[in-house]
Amino acid sequence: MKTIVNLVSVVVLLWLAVLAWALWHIPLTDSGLQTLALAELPNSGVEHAVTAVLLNYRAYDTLLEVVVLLAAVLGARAAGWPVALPLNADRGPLLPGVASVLLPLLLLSAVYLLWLGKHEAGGSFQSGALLGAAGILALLSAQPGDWPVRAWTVRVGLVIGFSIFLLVGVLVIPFSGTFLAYPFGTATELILLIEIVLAFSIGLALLLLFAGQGSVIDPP
Amino acid sequence: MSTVAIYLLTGGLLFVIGLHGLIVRRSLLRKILALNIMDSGVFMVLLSLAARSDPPDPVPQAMVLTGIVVAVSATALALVLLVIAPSRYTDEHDPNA
Repeated sequence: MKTIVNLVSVVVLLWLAVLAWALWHIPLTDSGLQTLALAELPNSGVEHAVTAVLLNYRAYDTLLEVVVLLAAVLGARAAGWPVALPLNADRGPLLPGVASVLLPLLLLSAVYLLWLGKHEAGGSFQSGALLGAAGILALLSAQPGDWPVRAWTVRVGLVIGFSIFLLVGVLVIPFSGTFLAYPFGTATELILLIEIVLAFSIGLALLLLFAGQGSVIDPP
Repeated sequence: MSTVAIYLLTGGLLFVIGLHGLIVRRSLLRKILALNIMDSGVFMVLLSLAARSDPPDPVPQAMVLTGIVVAVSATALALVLLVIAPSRYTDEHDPNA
């Protein structure tokens, strides 16, 4: 065992040397993409370059990224991730009190971050992360039966982000000729629509990865 | 040595620290944590590459944002498997099981 650990250390150190050599030789100059990204910014429908890359120039990446998140939720479900989280009936007065103060703030921040994505750092993923956190807080401070949610609404909520994104991507083909290339002048509205549904689906997906589907649906 | 170069090399170092942990540690939770340290190393390299120009290149920054979501998904699925696996499967060759 000891020799194996030493061997691993040697190999890892060699790998570090190779990596350091490679990183050292990366030219410290502009890649050229930045100039292009900033030059096209007025046509992208948003004012922040990162949002433009995420939802316009490389929207395909973002579409597949949502699929990865969805695949993780499906994987967790297929593995039998707890049908329902054991809710603590005796949770004391503090948790619901804190939740009632924090939940509105979290929701407000999520909406603000979503809107901010147009011209600052922000957007659907940041907003979705906050929504997921809000969902977890709400779940932990809830009593059994507090969440009268039907199973089909959870399913629809999970896939709505990806479906709307894909639908927009396909529906713009007759107008612009390319998958996910928004027609001129409609980019802002389409990106906003996609971001809103994405934030919701991402938040729900994160919540389900934490808690499992049975925790959020109405027991039959 | 420029600031960008320091960040680039630190990213490489983080990646290798994670790689070492991934191979050497036996606990699955530590392996998952090691994978996340490797992720951080890769993100750091990408962000340093973005910082080569001023204003920073948005393309690697957006890729890091994508990477974070993929890393979160993978970590969550790994944790689910970690929690579920011991109750379903036992390794008869593992004396600690």
